[in-house]
Amino acid sequence: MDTYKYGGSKNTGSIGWLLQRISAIVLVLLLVAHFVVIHYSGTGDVNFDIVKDRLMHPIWGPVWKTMTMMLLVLSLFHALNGTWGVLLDYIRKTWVRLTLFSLIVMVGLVLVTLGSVTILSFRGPPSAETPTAEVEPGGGQ
Amino acid sequence: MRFHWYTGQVAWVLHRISGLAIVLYLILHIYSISKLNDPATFNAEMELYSMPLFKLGEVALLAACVFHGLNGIRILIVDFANGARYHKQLFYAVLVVSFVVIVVGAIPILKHAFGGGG
Repeated sequence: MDTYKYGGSKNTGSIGWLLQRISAIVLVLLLVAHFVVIHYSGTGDVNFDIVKDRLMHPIWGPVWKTMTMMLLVLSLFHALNGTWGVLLDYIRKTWVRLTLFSLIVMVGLVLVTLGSVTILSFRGPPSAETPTAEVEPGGGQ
Repeated sequence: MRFHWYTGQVAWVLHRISGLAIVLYLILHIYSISKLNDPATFNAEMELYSMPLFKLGEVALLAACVFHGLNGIRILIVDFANGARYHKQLFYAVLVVSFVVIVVGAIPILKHAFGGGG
């Protein structure tokens, strides 16, 4: 059965194949929600205040953040696993494959980190929070 | 012998091209949304993206996502639900439904870009 295992690798690629399909099912559902919520409800405008109101909403905020985190992780996995599949069709040399695989993993880690920090550390603008505490009339002594 | 495009090949090529295009978009998307920690920069960015050229790009993005998603569902049916028997009909359905969803989805985007009011 070595014909399946190109270049003597033990990996047949079936796990990646299955995970690509599982992530696809979840992504279709999440992406429809993402498009409807962000681009097809309201005026179609996107600006900081609109995003802030959605993400800082007391009840729905955590739901949006969780959904966006799932979207981030799954879309990156699906995108990079798919790219890897395409590259395997055209790249034959093992060392080139290893280099590209390392590059893909690094791009994935950098983008997951960047996206997670963006979503999870989002608190709204500091300028909008501090004045209310300072301008409070008759608050301090 | 004449070269002939088969339905499955066309589906495969389009799925691949749309997929790679979405990968490039996704990388730029995650990077540009990371500017949320700087409201002024973020709003300037969104202002730029509301220009007609970017709105046309948004329609192209919608088209790529809708086709890739629907053809992805076709692949799932072929792989898991014995859809190989009617994979051609499924592909024609993908094309028709894609076309409808893209047109319907593009209207609000183009209205927003060119229609003034929205």
